Amino acid sequence: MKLTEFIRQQKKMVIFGVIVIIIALTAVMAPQITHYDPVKASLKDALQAPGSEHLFGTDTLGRDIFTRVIFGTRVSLTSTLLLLGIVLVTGSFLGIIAGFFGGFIDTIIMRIADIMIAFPDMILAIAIAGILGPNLVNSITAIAIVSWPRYARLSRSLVLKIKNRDYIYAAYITGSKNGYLLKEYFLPNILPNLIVTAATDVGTFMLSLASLSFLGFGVQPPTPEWGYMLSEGRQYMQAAPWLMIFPGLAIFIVVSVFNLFGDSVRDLYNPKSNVNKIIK
Amino acid sequence: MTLKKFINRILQMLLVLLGISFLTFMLTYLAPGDPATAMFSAAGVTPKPEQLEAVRVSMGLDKPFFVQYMTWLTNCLHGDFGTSFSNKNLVLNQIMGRLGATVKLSFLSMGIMLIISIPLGVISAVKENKWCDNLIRVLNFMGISMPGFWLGLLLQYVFAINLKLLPVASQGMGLNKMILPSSTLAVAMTSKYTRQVRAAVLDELSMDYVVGAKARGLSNAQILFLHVLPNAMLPLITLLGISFGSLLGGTAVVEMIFSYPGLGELGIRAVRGRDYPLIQGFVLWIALIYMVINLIVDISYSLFDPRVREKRQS
Repeated sequence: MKLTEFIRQQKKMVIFGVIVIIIALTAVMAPQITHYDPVKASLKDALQAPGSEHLFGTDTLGRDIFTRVIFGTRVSLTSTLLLLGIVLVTGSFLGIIAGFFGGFIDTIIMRIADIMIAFPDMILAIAIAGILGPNLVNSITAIAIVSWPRYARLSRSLVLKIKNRDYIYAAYITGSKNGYLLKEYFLPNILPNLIVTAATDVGTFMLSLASLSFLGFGVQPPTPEWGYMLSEGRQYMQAAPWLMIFPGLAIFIVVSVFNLFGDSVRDLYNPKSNVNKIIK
Repeated sequence: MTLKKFINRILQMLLVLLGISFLTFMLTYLAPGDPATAMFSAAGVTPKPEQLEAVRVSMGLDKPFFVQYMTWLTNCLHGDFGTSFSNKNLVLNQIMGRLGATVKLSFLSMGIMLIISIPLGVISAVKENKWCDNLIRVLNFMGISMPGFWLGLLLQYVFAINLKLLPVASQGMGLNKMILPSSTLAVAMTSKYTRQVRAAVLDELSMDYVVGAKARGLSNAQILFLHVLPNAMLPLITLLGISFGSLLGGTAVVEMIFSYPGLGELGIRAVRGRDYPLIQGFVLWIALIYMVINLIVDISYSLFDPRVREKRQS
């Protein structure tokens, strides 16, 4: 398929893909976009309303909110991608192992997954992050611990779906070892589905991380992070509403873009969700 | 047959409960330092080594791990969840004092969600790809991407601080104090649920029996209200149980924003103060509530679904 043709057919995905790239560039180029320091306090500039000098105003320590929001993209994107990678790898690894080997290993892994799923996600994540001690790594760990079971369940069910196919038997009979089977047959078969699921989850993970920071169980000051900025701004809601408007808006926009992008990736992979539109 | 299934389900649930209790107990072991040190620091005291040792022995921390777990579990089964580190009150009493508020808040949000999402989802499905469907979908989309804590702050800013229509904090549980927290909670859930209602109704609309009913001359309204909707409601009951989980998770954040005196607010304060017995009690109770709700949903599902019901009779 030619590139132009692809762009014409997948307009939605290309548009959101471009916006995602712009967000990523914002994170990478943060120091070029703004000349203020995101961390250094300058008390004489404290709590200035949005204006030409400070586009989004300044916080209680006189730091430029626009700068902090831009730099916040870095923290948010890197931590979300890290989290996504960890959950995707551990969850699908455990799920594939469980589905492929079955028996005792399957029972152990899936029962643990059942237990984890019996807790409402955020509650357990809050408890784990809080007890481990509030910082970025621990909040990522906490959400990873509560999120892997969903990926394990998904990859296990995908493995079970193809386990009894003829081509798997054929490969087995012709002497393929387990490792080879997994690498050459199972992984390529289930990976697209897992990646699509991961793509649709980016927004959710970003929101969970931001909520933990908002509660004070994530990123610690002075690192600029949207969730934490919101909880700082909360105390000055009446006098300086800009403190809580712009970081929230940033979360909302970035999460929306990633959700839209994830949905369009899913539509591309799974045209079934479009079937209704085609038929009618 | 179904009785056997039911007993099986209960047995499974007990197993998961055991796992939950184990995990909850393990939480304490995640922490740097041991519970005895944590107890002193929660109370704001720097202990002498011999004091620390005495407390360790009295808390049973010198015993093997498994013995500690069994002791803790037996106590829990007897309703003794320990005493809070920070204020020396019984954990059970504190939790019971807060339980009602959270349950009330959850059900109010759930009610708001159902009242809004079912009509919207049905309209969206019936008018598929028309302008109102598109509008509803855009709104849903925004609701899903909206961080609950930000929405809570915005509502607080607009309705409580600027317009002064509603109280900022919710000390107490009057209805006017529950409007903001429950609406905040309802928004994200409503958006998700509207999507699911739409999908379920669309699924049913594409079934052959709809064509059949149309061929027999039934009006669109008759088909929709007498055939499609009752069928579409079934999968939605199951999803209701799942939404309840995210609802309980959301209560923690929302209760904190509005200082609403519920379980979530208690739990977050416990986590901040490293009050281990209280954290354990909180996590355990939330998991329990979630589990019971899902059990009720499962049972009601089998009551509503004629296919499951008939199996029982045969």
